[in-house]
Amino acid sequence: MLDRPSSSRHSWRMLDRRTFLQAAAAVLGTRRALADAAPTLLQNVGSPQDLATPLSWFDRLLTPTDVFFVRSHFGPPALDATRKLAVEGLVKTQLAFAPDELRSRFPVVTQTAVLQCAGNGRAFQTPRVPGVQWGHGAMGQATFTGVRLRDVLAAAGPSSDAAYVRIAGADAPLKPTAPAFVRSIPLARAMAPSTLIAWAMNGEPLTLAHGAPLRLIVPGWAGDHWIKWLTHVGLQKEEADGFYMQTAYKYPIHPVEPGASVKPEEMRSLTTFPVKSVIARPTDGSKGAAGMQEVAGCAFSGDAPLAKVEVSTDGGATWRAAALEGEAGVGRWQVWKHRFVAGPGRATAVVRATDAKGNTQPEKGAWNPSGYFFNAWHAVAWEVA
Amino acid sequence: MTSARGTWAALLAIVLAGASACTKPALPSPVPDASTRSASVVHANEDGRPIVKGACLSCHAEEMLAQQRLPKEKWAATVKKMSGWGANLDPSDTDALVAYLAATYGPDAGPWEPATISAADATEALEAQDDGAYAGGDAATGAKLFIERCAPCHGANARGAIGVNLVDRPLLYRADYVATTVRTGRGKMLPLASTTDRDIADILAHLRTLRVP
Repeated sequence: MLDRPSSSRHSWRMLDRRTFLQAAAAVLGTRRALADAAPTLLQNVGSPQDLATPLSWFDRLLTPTDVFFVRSHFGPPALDATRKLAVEGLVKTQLAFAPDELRSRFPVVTQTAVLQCAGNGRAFQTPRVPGVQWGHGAMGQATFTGVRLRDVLAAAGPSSDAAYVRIAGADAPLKPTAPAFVRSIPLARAMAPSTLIAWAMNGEPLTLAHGAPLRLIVPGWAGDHWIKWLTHVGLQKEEADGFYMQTAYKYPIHPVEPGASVKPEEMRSLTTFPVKSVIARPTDGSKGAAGMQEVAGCAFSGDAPLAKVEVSTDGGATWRAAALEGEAGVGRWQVWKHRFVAGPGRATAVVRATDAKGNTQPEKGAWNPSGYFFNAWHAVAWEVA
Repeated sequence: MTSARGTWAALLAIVLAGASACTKPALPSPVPDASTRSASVVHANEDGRPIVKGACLSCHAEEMLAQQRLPKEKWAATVKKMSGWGANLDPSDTDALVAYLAATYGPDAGPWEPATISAADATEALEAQDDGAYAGGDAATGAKLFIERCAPCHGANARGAIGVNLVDRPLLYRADYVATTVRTGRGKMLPLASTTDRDIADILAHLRTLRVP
């Protein structure tokens, strides 16, 4: 009857507005019009905004900007479309560019990439860890348009002793006693052709929530490198100082027991996100008609292009390859679909992806102290009548 | 003290009921509402509530706390970190705050589900609004007013101290929001009810001239 009702784990009071509108509109026979009229986000935090994309959007190649997840440390600076970018540090010539100057001076490129928060899936960690309790929705895929960071750095002329690029934006902590959000990436990653300084997302100028006027794009790497409101790229010999580079965004170098404390020297900075897939539909706990079932979602890896996506509809006993749509690439998602016939009763699906380097999603996510990079198999169950 | 405690409990009940009403569709609920359970927990620990307001809610929305499920030692570590970053916490209140957070948002506090927000509302929340009654402020007058009335908490350079940073933020272009916050308070900030529309216009004109170096 309804193709995307809410999860059975939620009470009726917990129905999200989109689902509610879909249910109401299905009764009226105008489901599409109403659902399209009022897209929603999941409000993990209202201010500063931490907003998640509902799972049901992950059955398509591009996530619309208005439902694309938003992660904030301190919230954005005021909108300033002419905010300049300084290229500084160990360079032959210090430079500054307004967004328009970047556009006119360097080759413009557009590329499609997954943006995923390092903490996506944190709510599924047991025991729970502090931080925004994201479900699956702190990820999305969009096209980004800008110039290559390497072209901009080349114009400034990197010194031979430069090894890292310090990246900072115009956002400021709410108290001056709190650390600024500053990161760095190795020079080699900065010089990779996929690393962009972007001003557009999905063909439109960046919105303030997504970093206007300029943000860094680092395909395959976790979102903490994709600095918004970008104002400074500085070449230097060392990694950036400060809490957000030296303490946060670190992951154990060896597997750890759930709940264990890990010594700082046994942690490394996050870079690429691991292989992952999710089921966008059917929704867990939904009801459907007996007969042909279509399961669909997205899959990606930050390390390599996808090799395969497999679906099990018998609890993991047997697996079938799903059909893939879209272009394969590092840090780029493809949509997968799998069809099977189900009689009346409880239907289930589990998905796992494997990338071209042979990395496969684990059955259980690896617990870590900050809840980063959750990528366990995703399973849903629904009633077939 | 008794009446103050009662007031806080009542205020919290109103906040929780309000949040529930505006974020979920009004459909019959077959199960007890989560806010009922939370409110009963809060009654047992209400001493911590004013501390939460001053120490946490100056910067964080309540949701950031409400979605955590942490044991006491993890809350203690979080509070220690936030104190170091400038939370408005008197050291003598630390134990009471940790106890409140662990009792209210501990591992067994039950499920938490995010509310939904329309994509349009999420975008609008960051957009500049018309200045309306707060248009045409005088920055020089505003600079003087700011030093007299705001700088004691927000710092002479407006970069934050007891109060939060006010430099180069979208709220400076949402004068209605600023006026409401000034007149009703937020977190540690007490209401400054006598602030006139002209005062707010002048102070905003001043703040809009400031930039992070």
